[in-house]
Amino acid sequence: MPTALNLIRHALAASLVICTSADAQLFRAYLSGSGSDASACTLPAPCRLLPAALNAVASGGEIWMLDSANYNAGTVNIAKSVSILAVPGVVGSLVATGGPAIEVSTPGLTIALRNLVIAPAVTLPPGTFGVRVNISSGVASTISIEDSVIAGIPLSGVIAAGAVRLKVAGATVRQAGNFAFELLDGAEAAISSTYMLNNGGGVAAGSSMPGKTTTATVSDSVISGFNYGVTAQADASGAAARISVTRSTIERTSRALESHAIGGGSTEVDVGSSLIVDNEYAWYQYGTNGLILSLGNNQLSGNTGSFGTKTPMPPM
Amino acid sequence: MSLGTNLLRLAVAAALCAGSSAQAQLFRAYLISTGSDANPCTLPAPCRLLPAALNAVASGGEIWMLDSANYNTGTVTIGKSVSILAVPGAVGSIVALNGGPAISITAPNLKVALRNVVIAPVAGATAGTHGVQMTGASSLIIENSLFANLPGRGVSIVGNGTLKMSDTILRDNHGPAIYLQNGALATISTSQLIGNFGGVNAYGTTATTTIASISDSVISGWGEGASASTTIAGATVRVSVSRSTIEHTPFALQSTTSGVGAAEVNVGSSLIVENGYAWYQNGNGSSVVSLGNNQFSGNTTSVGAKSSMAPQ
Repeated sequence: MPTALNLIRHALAASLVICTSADAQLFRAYLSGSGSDASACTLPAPCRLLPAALNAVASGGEIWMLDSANYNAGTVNIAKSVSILAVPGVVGSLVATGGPAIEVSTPGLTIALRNLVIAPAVTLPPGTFGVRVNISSGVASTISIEDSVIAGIPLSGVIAAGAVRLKVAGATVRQAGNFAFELLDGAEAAISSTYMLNNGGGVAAGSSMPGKTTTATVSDSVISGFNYGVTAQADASGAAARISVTRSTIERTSRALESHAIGGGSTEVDVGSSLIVDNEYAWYQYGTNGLILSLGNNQLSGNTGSFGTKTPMPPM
Repeated sequence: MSLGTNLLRLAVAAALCAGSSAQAQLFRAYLISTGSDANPCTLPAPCRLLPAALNAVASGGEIWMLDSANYNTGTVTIGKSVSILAVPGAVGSIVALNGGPAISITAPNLKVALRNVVIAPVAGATAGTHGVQMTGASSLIIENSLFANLPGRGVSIVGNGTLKMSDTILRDNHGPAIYLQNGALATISTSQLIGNFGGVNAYGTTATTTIASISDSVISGWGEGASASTTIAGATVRVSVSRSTIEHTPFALQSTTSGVGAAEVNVGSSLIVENGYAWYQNGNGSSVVSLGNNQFSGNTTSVGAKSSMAPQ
């Protein structure tokens, strides 16, 4: 059958011969809406759901979603390094039902999610988080999320706790009940070119553990609604949280920039080159060790008020 | 019907078994150019037009347009929370014709998202009006979409609705690209508003607060680029512009009142060039406020005062 899809399949199949054998795990595992989990997850015989592909793929390999479909039936646990992507032009859907859509709890992994759509299935039991990463000890795992949409999640779009490095580029996270990104107890996040719209909040960095510093950078992004823009919170001695914001817009929140340090914790929110408009509190600084630092070149208008002190941070 | 289409249908059908039953409304409803509105709008049996899919989908669900086609024959009224998207690589067209908008939202408290859709007038039929018209106090999200050549406004929000728009092109519409009035709240980011008769135009004609922010966007065309206007006491209108370009307009930044109300346009980190009036400030209670770090060049003139806001 000389169709484009078949041509693509044959072409890719040929290229795969060099890196697959009957017994070895696959460098690339394939999913298709017409696949079967009894298949080998190869291109000629793709699987149907993500757990089968995760079993078939080698550590450090890739999983390709070949056509528009939903690829999970419950929480997907990722326990090896892998890149999961939908090929351009298709919707690679994962639903959150009864738990997170994706769960990671293994240290030392490198995981990438690219061109995916994560949403709760409204006709199934509600999910919780879009992506949940919790690495309580050991070497950090790195999670990259690129060009993806996370929409309508009942709690936070992405929650990352512990030894996690989260890298987000070109994502849209909207209509989450809690935060777009919730970072806890040592997690580190770099968020760029990302829209965080109509969530309970944009980015939260919190630490309740002595010696743990949670950090986030937010660049070239937009946060609009509802309760928080960015909030750094620490509530234990030796616990710290810091969020840096540049070239971004934070608008129509109750608290655009919050730094909230109690119980001996320390927090910082620093902001430069950004638009902070139409919020209730432009900044909300609480606690002796809670700092709001401004580069002095931000555009503030239409905010109702502020709480506490905003401290100048000289450009260098 | 192409093999690709069949493969696609089979693909998604399996995925949907878990989420649909014969009676229940669908989490995902499907449209295709070869579909029929007599079908249940499932993947094996997609519907043809948006109203059928809107009937079939559950509140909070999704409608997928599976191939490149037009999916309406008149104004589509959205009365439930829903995300409507064309799968990437397909053109999901919704036309404005028969004297009305392509999409109308009059109900309150909905959450509606449009992603990867194209909204344009249909040639040869009775002209439509606007692209999307929302008068209900609902939340509208528009992503990765195109609004072109409409007889009226690209997106019109009158009343307490909210609009979040990103990565969208509004081109050569005969009214303002974005029209906001009497309580509308709009967030425009990374969008191109080119050749329209007005960029983002916000009006207060009742005692309400109307707000827009424009980030990382380009406005080029006729009418006012970014404007705030009040005509009644108690009305507040504010437009904030950041990291954007406004060029080749007659009025780049316009803030006017009829002597009552409060109108503000504030601008920072932006390029304001080749306009007739760089700023046009007129009326008690109106202000054009600059962060002092904008790049102005090639503008013919200005009217009224440009005040400064301290960077913080």
